[in-house]
Order: sequence, then structure tokens, then C-alpha cells
Amino acid sequence: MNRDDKLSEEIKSIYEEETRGLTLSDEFLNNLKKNYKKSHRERINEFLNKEIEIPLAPAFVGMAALIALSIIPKDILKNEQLRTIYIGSSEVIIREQKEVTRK
Amino acid sequence: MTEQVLVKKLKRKDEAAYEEIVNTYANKLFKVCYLMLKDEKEAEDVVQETFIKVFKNIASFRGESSIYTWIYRIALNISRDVIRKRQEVLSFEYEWIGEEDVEEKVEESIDREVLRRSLKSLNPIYRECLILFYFEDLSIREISQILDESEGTIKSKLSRGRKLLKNSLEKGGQFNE
Repeated sequence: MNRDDKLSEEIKSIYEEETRGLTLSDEFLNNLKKNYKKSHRERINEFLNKEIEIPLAPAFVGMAALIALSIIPKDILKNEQLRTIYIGSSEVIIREQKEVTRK
Repeated sequence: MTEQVLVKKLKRKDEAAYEEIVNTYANKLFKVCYLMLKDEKEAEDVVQETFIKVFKNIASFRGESSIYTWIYRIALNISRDVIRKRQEVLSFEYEWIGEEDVEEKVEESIDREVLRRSLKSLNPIYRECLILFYFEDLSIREISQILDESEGTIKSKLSRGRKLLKNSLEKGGQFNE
């Protein structure tokens, strides 16, 4: 099919002439784009459906730390700070920290 | 962004992909629709409706053709509906009766004003092919995908359209289909 003869050139040239300077306004284009703005519901759904990649090594370390924290008693490294005051035949024990032990 | 990635993002309703597709095709479609409809307001409406349909139906796009082929097809189908509503032409059905690819030489001197008038009043069946072929520089294959017709039919329509224009030029702008 011819594209380079006189008639073809004239057809192309007339079409180009007729559409020269013909563009959609920015307002129209912005409205066109606004049509596609997502609703809050769509955004929430998108967030919930997002694929999250978790690196395995840090995940294991984190998990181990969490387990350790829940198993080991918190006061294992703390020295019990007691003060004993003798008053006559009585003794008063003052504990500076509340003792927490696992049952 | 490759077309595959773009389509994938569009299917995920990615706003950036939507913006890209609007920026790439909106003005192109506007010009093609204007040449088809000869009315700016109607061409704007077609562009708007096209993009609404594109994003409503993107999930059904199977990637058997290019995304632009698909978008053009939607826009041209809407334009055809507008023309049908105007009752400018009753049917877009076209029967290909055989190889009609023989080009006749057109005289060296062409009256541009007569040609301009003839292009405007040419039957839309031929107009859409001429616009896609000469203005959009699309191949016969691409046009056949857009219009969902065989390559032979497209060649035949182009040839017939040119012949009609040539006859019209000889008769000072009168068509004798």
C-alpha cells in the first residue's frame, strides 16, 4: 500500500494541518487522572494485600530474642538489694526493688 | 517501563501507571477521534469514555495484542457509536469482495481544498482506515488488529477509500459511491 505518492502525502499533510495545536487542556487531563484516584477502602485493601518480604536471618534472630525474653526471668541478672537494720532484738529488712520471679 | 510491566501495574490499579497511559495516549486518541468525528467536544467525550472503559476492563485484557491496539479499538468503537447515533451512516459492515490493491496514479496537481472537503465527507468506513494508516502511520497488520478485520479487508478499504477520493477530486469534491 502506497504511502509515498502525491495523494498519500497530501492526505497526511491535511490530517496534520487539521490537528495541529489540538491538545487536551491540563484541566481535562487532570480530571481524567482524578477519575482514577483510589478510595480509602481501596487503599486499605491494597495495604492489607501487600506482599511483604522478610529476610530470614534477622527474622530468626528477632524471634529467638523474643522467646528468650519471655522464658528467662527478668530478674536473673539483678542482685537482690536488701538492707537489714537491727533494732534491738528485731531486724527490719528493706527491699529496694520488688522481687519478680516466675512461678 | 515495558508494556508488560505497565499492564501488570494497571491490573494492580497502580496510579502511576494510569497517569503514564493517560499522558501517552490521551492526546493521540483525541486527534484521531477529532479526525473521525470532526467535533472537539465529542472527541473529548470519547477520550474520557475510552479511559473509563480501559480501567474498568483492564483485568480482561489478555495481552494478545498491544495495549495501544486495545485502547485504539475501544476509542474507535465508541466513535462508531457516536457516528451511528448521528445516523451519518447506517452500517459499518463491509464486505471484502476481492483483491483491490491496484493503485491508480493520481494526477500531479491536487486541489487541496477539494481533497480536504472530500476527506471530511468520506464514508467513515474508509475514513478510519485512512486516518490510522496515513495519520497514525500504523501498519496494515496493526490496523487489522485494531479494527478486528482481516489484513485483506483493510487493504481493500484503503484502496477503495483512495479511489473514492481520486474520483471525488476529478469531480470537484463530489462522491459517487
